[in-house]
Amino acid sequence: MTTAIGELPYFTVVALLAIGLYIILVKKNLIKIAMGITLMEAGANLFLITLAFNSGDRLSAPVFTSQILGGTEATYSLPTPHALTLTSIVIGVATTALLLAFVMQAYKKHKVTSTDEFRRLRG
Amino acid sequence: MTYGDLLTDVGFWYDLLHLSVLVGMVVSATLVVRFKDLLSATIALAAVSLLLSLEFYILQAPDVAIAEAAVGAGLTTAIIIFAIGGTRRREQ
Amino acid sequence: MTFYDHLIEQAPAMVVAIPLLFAFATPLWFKLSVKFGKLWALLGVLATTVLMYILAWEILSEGGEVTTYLFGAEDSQLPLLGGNAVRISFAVDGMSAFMGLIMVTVSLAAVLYSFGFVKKYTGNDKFFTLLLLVLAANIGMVFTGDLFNLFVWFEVSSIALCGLTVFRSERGEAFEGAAKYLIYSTVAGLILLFSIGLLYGQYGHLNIKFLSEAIGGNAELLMVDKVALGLMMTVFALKAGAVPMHMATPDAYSEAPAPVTAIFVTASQAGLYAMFRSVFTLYGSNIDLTIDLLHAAGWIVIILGVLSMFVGVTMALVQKDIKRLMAYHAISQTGYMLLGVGVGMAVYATGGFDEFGRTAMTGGIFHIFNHALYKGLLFLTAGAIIYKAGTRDLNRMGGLGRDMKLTALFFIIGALAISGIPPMNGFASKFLIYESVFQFNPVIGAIAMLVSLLTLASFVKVFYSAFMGPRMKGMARGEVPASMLMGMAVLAGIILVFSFAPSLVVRSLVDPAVNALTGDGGTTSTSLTLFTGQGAWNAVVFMGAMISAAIIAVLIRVFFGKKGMTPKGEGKKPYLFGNPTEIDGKPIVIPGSNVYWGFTKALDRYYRPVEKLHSGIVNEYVFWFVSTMVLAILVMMAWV
Repeated sequence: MTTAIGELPYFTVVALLAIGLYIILVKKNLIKIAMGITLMEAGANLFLITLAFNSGDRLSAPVFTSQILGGTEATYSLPTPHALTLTSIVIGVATTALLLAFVMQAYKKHKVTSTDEFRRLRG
Repeated sequence: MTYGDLLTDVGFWYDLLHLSVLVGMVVSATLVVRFKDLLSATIALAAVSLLLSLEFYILQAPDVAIAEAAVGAGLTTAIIIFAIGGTRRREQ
Repeated sequence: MTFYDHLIEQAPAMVVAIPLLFAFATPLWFKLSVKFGKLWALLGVLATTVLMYILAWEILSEGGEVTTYLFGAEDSQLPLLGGNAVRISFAVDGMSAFMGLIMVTVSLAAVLYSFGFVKKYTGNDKFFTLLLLVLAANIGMVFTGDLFNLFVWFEVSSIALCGLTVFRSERGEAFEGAAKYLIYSTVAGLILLFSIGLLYGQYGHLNIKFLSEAIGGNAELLMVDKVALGLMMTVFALKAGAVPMHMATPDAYSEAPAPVTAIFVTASQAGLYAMFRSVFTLYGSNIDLTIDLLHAAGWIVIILGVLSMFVGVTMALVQKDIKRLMAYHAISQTGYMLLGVGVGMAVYATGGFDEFGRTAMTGGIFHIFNHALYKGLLFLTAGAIIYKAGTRDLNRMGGLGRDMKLTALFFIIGALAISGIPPMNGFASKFLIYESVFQFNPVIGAIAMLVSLLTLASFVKVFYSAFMGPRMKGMARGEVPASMLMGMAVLAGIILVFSFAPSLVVRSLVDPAVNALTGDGGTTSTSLTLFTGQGAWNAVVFMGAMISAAIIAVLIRVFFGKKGMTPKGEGKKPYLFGNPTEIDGKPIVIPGSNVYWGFTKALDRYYRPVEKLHSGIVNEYVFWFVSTMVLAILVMMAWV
C-alpha cells in the first residue's frame, strides 16, 4: 500500500537545505552560520534516508529478525544509504566542532563573532 | 507479516505522526533563523535533530536514528553551547 | 606468487593505508623522542612514495589501463560485477597514477622541508600526523572508484588542511582563514553529497563505472543528470580554487605554513582531477547521448579558466603579502589547466578534438604536473624568505639575496617556470595550451599569453623586494636550515630535469592520463620534440641556440671589440636597486607595492570594483559559490 505522504519528506529536505543556505547567506553571526551548516547537513542526511525508503511501500528496517515476520529482501529499506548517512553524520559533527573551535579562537584573539568584522584577510 | 504491515493497521495515525514530524522539523528550523538568542536557537536546532532522528526511525532506519539522536541532538548541541559559552550569547 | 606480485596486487590500498597508519602512529613515536617521531613521519612518506612509484610504473607500462581494487573481497582483483557493486573499490588508471605521482613527490619535499621549518613551534607531532593524513586523503580522492568514497576523502582532506592552516596559532588571522575555508568546503561538500544522492536515487549505484554505464544506457538525458553534473562541477571547481569561488583560497593559502601550502596546491589539483573525472568518465560512456552536455560543460570550464587566469594574476600584482601574492598566482595557474582541459571538453568527439583539442588537453594536464612542482617550490621559497625576514610584508623586506644565495636561485627557477619562460617546464605546457587555444579562439589564446606576462612582472616585483636592495631592519643573517634547502632542492632538481625532457613526461605520464580520461588512443609526441600541429618545441635545441648565440657574442667582443670601452666611475658598478644616490649617499628604496604603481593606477577602474568584491565577508563568498552553481545548471539546461 502506498502511503499518502510518501513524497513529503523530499519537501522537508528542500526546506531544510534552503533554510540552512539562507542562514549561511544572510546571518552574520558565525555560530549561527555553523547552525546553518548543521541544518543543511540534516537536509542532506534526510535526503539519503528518504531515498532508501523511496519505493513508497511500508518497508521495514533491514534487520535480520524481520525475516522471521515473513519479510523478504523486497520489503526492506535499502541498507546502503543508511551506511552513507552514518558516515556523513560523523563527518558533520567533526566539521562543526572544528569550525566552532576556530570561531572561539578567533574570538579570543580579536573579540569578533560577526562576519562583518571577521575580515582582516581581504583584497 | 512485516513490521510495515503492522503499521498499516494504524494507517491514519501513523501518517499524522509522520506529517507532524516533518512539519515540526521545518517549524523548528525556522525558529533557528528567528531566534536572536543563540542559546534558544541551539535548543531549536536540537529539536530539529531530535525530530530528524524520529523521522529516520519512521523511515525504517533505526541504526541511523540512534546515531543522529546521540551525535546530532546530543553532541552537536553540547559543542555549540560550549562555543556560545566561549563567545557571545546574543547575535548582533 | 612472488612478494613483488603481492605487493603490486595490494599496492592501491597500501598507498592509502600506509600514510594513514604512519599518521596515527606518529604521536606515539614523538612521545618517545622528537627525532624518532620525525624519522617515522619521513619513513611513512618515503614508503608511500616508493610504493606509488612502483604502482605507477606497473600501471603506466601497461598503457594506463584501469586496475580495480575491491575492498573486502576474497580476491581484490575480481572483476567488478553487479553482485559486488556495493563494495568500495579503487580504480587506478593512467590519470590516477599521474596524480598520485604528483602528490607523493610534493609531499616528500614538503615533509623534508618541514623538519627545519617547524623546529621553533610546538605540537610537531600533530603537524606530521595531519600532513600524512592529507597525503592519504589526496591519494584516496584520486584513486577511488566510488562517488561516496570520493566525498569522504574530500571532507578528510578539507578538515585536515584546515587543521594544518591554524598550526601557527599565534596569528588570529590563521583562524579566520581556516574558518572561511572550512565554511566554504563544508557547504560545497554538502552540495556534493546531495548531488551524489541525486545520482544514487536515480540509478541505484555509487560506483563510478556502473553509474557511467547507467547514464549512458538512457534513451535521453534526464534532468537529474544535468543538475547533478552542474552541482558536482561547481563543487570541484571550488576545491580547485577557480574564480569566482576562489575567495577563501588566498586566505587559507597565505595563513598556512609554507610546506602545508605546497600540499594545499596538490589538494586543489585533486579537485581538478575529480572535476575532469566526473565530466569525462561519469558522463562519457555514451558520447552520442552526452556530447552536448560535455560541450556545455567545456564552455563553463573555459569561462571559469579565463576568469581565474585574469582575476588571479591581476589581484596578485597588487598584493604586498608575499604568500597571498603567490596564492593568487596559484589561482591564476589553475586557470590554465581549466582552460586547456576545457577546450578539450568543448570540442570533445568532434573534428576539432583531433586538430587541437587533444593538444589543449595534453597541455592542461601537463600543466598540473608542472604547476605542482614549481608552485610547491615557490611556496617553499616563500616560507624560507619569511623564515629569515620575520615578516610577510614585501615593503618591509629586502637584501635577503646577500646571504640566501641558494634560496634566491631556487626562487629564480620557480619564477621562470611559472612565468612560462623557455626553456623551463612551465613553458612546455603553456606552449601546448597557447598553440591549441589560439586555434580554438584567438582572443582566449591572447589572454593566456598576457597573463603569463603579468605573472613574470609580479615575480620580478617579489624578487626585487625580497632579495635585492639594502638589507632592511630585522632581516636575519645566513641561509635557512639544510633540511629546508633539501626540500626545495628536490623540487628544483625535478623541474630542471623535466625542463629539458618535456616530451618524455608527455609521452610516459601525460598521454596515458589523457587517454584514460578521453578513451582516445593517441599520443602527442613520439620524439624528443613536442609537436602541436602548428609548431614544435625542443628545449635542447633552444638551449643550444642560446648558448651558440652567447658564444658568438663573446667572440665578437673578443675579436672586434675596441679597447677603452669599459665605463668608468659610478657607471662601473652593476645597478642593483638600492645603490647610494649621488645626492645624499642614502640608498634608493622603492617599496614593493609601489613598483607597478603606474600600471595599477591606470587600471583603477578595474581594480576598485574587483578589490571590493574580495570583501572578506564569508556570506558573500558563499553567495558567489551558490550563484555560480545556479548559473552552471542553467547554462547546461539551456544548451542541451
